[in-house]
Amino acid sequence: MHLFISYFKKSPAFFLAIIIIVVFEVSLHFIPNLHYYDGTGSFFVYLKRDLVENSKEDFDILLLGDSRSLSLMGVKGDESHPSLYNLSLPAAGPWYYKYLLKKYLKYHKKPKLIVWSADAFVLKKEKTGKFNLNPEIWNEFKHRLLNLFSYSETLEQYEGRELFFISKEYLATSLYSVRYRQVFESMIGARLSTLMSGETAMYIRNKSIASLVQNSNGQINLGDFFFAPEGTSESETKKFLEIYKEGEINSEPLEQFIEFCRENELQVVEMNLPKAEGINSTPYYTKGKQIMMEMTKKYDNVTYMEFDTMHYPVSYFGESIHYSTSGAKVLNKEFLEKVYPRLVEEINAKK
Amino acid sequence: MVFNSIDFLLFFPVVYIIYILLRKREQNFLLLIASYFFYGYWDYRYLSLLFISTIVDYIASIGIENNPNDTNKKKIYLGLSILSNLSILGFFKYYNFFTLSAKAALDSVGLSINPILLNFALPLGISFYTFQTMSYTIDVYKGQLKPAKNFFDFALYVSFFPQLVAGPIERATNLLPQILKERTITFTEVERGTFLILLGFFKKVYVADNIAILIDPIFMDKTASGAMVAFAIIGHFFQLYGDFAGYSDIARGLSKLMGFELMRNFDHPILSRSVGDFWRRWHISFMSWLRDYVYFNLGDKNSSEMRKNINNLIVFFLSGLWHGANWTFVLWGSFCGLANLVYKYVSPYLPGMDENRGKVYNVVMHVLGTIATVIVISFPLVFFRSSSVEMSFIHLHSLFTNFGDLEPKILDKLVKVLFFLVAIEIHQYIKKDEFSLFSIPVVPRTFVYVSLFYGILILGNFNKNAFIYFVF
Repeated sequence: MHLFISYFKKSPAFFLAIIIIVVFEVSLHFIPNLHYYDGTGSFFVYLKRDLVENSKEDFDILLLGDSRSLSLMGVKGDESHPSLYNLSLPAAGPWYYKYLLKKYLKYHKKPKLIVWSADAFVLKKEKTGKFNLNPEIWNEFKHRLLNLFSYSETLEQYEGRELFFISKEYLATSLYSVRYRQVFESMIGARLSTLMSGETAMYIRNKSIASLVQNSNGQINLGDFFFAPEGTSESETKKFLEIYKEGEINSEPLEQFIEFCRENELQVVEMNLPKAEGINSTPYYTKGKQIMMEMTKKYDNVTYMEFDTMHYPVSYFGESIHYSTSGAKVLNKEFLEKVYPRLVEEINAKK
Repeated sequence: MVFNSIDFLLFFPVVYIIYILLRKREQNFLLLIASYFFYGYWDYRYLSLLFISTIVDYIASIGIENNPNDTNKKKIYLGLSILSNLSILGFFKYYNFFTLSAKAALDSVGLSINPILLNFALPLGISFYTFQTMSYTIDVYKGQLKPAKNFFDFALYVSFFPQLVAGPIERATNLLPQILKERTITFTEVERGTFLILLGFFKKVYVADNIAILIDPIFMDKTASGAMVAFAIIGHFFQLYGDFAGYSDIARGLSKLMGFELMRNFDHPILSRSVGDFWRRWHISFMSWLRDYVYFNLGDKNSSEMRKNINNLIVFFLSGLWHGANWTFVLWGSFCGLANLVYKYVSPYLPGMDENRGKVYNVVMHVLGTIATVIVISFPLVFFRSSSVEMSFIHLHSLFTNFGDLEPKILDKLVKVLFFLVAIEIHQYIKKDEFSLFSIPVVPRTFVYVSLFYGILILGNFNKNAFIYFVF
């Protein structure tokens, strides 16, 4: 203590700065709903994590996928209609399905049906590599995965160099100022009155997203939130038709997920979604469908399902990947009227 | 390993805790192992080059020491050192460049060749440690330095991790005695070291890497307006400073924590009042290396004016080549040499500082001089930063023929990024003390520390990892 006091006297500013930093970092842990001020991407992941860990509601059908399948409406269940929750996450990579489902099973009753509805794009070989070998992939997915799982849950997901790599990333986020740096970024330049009231632009946006997700059982159509200049969809589709003339698929993440479901006696529906005109017929997506079909032969707990119309006009897409508002409307009409009843039939058939 | 990585944040505390528990002899051994680990962490295979450079210079210096009266033998040992270091550098850094340049030249006269090219990454910091070891042997040859008796001490001098990959290029006369003597770690040095580390990270991840976000797209855009190009090259000047001075500050700060004192590599070059003043403040360890080991060997004070000018141009040409195996760097160095030469003859006619004309006049002259210097020094950076000579000429063409407009608010963003750093630099410059902030009252000083810390953590850009000077 004496030593500390003597050092403090030598450089009070140095120690005051340390004290301020420590107090600030600790106090951040006690701010309620801090995530509501975070970037929308991170906040959205938090919402899903919160649902998995804290919701009292159990769902009959659980849909897992990516930013495209996120457009599918959930269904509030009743006695004659099984509930469906859309647990899809945008840009979370190809490996998270198994672990998120495992986490869900830890807190909830087993669902009657699992729908895997990710785009074959997420299985692209270069997207499924090791994070430590290709940190660019990790940079793409990290803020999702770091928010989705606790460190202890992560421990079982990786090993060796991969685990070391991920652990370092967790270490960085152990400081809340780093973890929630977007919160502070968004506050810079905001009016004092706004900060005092807590109603920052990010907070208002996140609150409305939380309400949308709550009402739609997990659904949110990303195409409603961005504006692409006219002609983007056409030009992008043209580009993708070229890109998908080739490409290798790594089916391991899908297979790992299916095996996990089988171990847990869960029925899986692989659901293929409509895409912009021609995309589903490209060699890459044809291969993707083939792999899904192979899974149905290899595993008795898997069935394949697709929409009546698998090719949508490009005008149904914001930028050729995500459904525009009108595209999502058509998609959900068919989903609720035709596909959902088939999912219900699937449940009933396995009873 | 880079300083702004979690790997380093794990590495250094472990090394440091063990370091302070050991005695000097053991400390040196620990630092040697840590330095090799630090370097090998990136690619252990390139450690072999570090070993070769170390062994050759150790043997050469002992050989020179053991033959004090045999000039021929001394020259052979010196030649061995210079040849081996330049061979390593030439092969790994310049082989492809010279080969492709020769191929292009032969192609242009209709002689087509198909040369074998090397396909591996440039070893990190190779330009730094080869220059450092060469200076050691030259100093021993000139009798200015006694060679290290202990091989491990010498190996540590070559590989000392804080400055291994991006300098400062330490002279053995400064660093080696510190390796040999007992070091003491005082609270003052720990505080100063911590401040330098904080300031260095701030310069790197807040200033340099945030400027990168603003200017990188401009340098890649062939259609960028002249105004945007002008903005980008001025921005790159500050980015380069933040990046490189940031590294040097961190290196010096880490060294201070361990009781070492590295030379100062940057002395507020962004506040230089003239071009000549700038080169005395920028990358001091390298510029003084060129002065002592190249310029002074090309001629002396009795050389003709013309000879001195040519020697100056040679030095700047070599400086460009040292920075990178690309014609863009050669052009950059040559332009800097020319600008320096023009300044030499123009400066006597420029209004300058005058003690008799009052403070306000001198402040105004200083500010104007600084602005002019930043513009003159920034201009050749269009070559330094462009991906190719062709691209630099496209940018220059825009600069002179299609000036156009600046993107709205982009200048505001640059000013915001630079404001805090420039304020600190001005304070240090006026007080002629890089630790001048230690003398301000407790409250603002605390504010500066906390702002630097959170400037790094919250506003820093961590997606751009590598320091620019690693590739030199």
